[in-house]
Amino acid sequence: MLQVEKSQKGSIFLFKLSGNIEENTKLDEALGEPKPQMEIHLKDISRINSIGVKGWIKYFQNCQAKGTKITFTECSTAIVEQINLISNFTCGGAIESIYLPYSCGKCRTEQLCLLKVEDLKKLGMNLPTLKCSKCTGTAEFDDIPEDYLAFLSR
Amino acid sequence: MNKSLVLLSDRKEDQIFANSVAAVSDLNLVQVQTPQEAVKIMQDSPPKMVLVDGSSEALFNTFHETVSESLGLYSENVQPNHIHFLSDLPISKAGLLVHSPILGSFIKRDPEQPEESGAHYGRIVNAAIQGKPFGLNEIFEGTAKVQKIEMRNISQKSHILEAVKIYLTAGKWPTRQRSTVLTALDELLINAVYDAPQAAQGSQSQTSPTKIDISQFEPETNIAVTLAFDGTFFGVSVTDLYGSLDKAKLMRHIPKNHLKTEYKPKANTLSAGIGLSMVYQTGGGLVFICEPGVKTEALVYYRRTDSFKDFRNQFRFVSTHFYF
Repeated sequence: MLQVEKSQKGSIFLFKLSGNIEENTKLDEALGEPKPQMEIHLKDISRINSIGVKGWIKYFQNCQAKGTKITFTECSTAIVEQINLISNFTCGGAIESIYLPYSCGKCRTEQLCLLKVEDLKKLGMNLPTLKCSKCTGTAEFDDIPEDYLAFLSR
Repeated sequence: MNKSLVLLSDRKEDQIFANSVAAVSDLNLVQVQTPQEAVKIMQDSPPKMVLVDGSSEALFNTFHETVSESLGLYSENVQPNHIHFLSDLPISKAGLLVHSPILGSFIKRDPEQPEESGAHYGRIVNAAIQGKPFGLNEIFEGTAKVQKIEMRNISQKSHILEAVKIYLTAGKWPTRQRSTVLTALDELLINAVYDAPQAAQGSQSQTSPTKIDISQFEPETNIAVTLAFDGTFFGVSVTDLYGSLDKAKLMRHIPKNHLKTEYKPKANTLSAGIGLSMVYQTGGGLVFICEPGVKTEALVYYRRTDSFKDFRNQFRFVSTHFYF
């Protein structure tokens, strides 16, 4: 089930999405008619299935056709996976920031690290390590950098 | 049918893999050097398994031509269920091999752990050579607790996914691995609910999924979801009672890659057409067993790993078994 929190900051319409995107998700009802500027906050999207992807592309292609300026922020790992699988997933929108998955080498605690895309581009594939939030260990990026960040080089 | 595993490959890691498969499935490993030798054995007494190095286009073409000329691609001595190709290439780049009518299974070579992968794959081969390998208990024989859930209509899908999520959380599966498994199960359920009946009817003009009337699905559209976990491998299967799986269509869908060509959603189909390729690309093994007009079982198979990097890099394959 998808939940949406709506707000407005100046001329930008903000939408904070949480939950799963699947066959019962109706983005046209949940987000409404395309606005001139939309910011889509995706931190809490846990999963998106193939019919969800289909609905997503249809909705945002419509936004693109109407000239909407779209920004995707705080993209969850589930969203980043789709961005890397489908070349037109963002439908011309800009990706501002994404979550990177980390795992502690000592206690295996999972952590997420939010980075702006412009900072990621500067870092290249040299991703930083983090201090584990639960023990004294070091958390390392837990995916294949070339795969997870493949969208940066498109 | 002779109880041998005929290996056509001169690669060391393939020999290790084949040895391991043969040990688990109680087959005699026979290594041959040429496609002609392999085809001669198939002609005289079809073996239980033929394992071919498919990463060389030249070798694949020669094998394919030899089969075609000596036996005929659709001869009863050529049983795709028993023909397995190993490849270094991802399935999206395996070209002709994937679309060959003699392909039964595509195995992405695992040069790092051929012995372990062979033992894992051997369980599927073992189940298949005993008969129709329907049911996870055939594959997880004696090694795991198998649980079954019945799904009678689509509204139960979210409950099933939630139940599996609880099961995986209790088994301490890391978040992303758990999410990958759930998405894979979701896709198999979508196929069973939306695609299987459509394929059975041969209809190409369905409405959008957002307009589906759940009541259109017949009450007997029973779908069985089966779970098994042996401490290392987790398998989940979805069985429908249509038996409408089309291998050629399946092998067109799985290798789809939407990085070079844009994804264009079709308005007149129920499904998105990208579910199985999404599942395959996120790792693990896929097994499809179909008795046309009777039932189809689709199974995904994942190894739980310490890191997601290892999870993504795990041994993967697509294995098909059709019983006409």
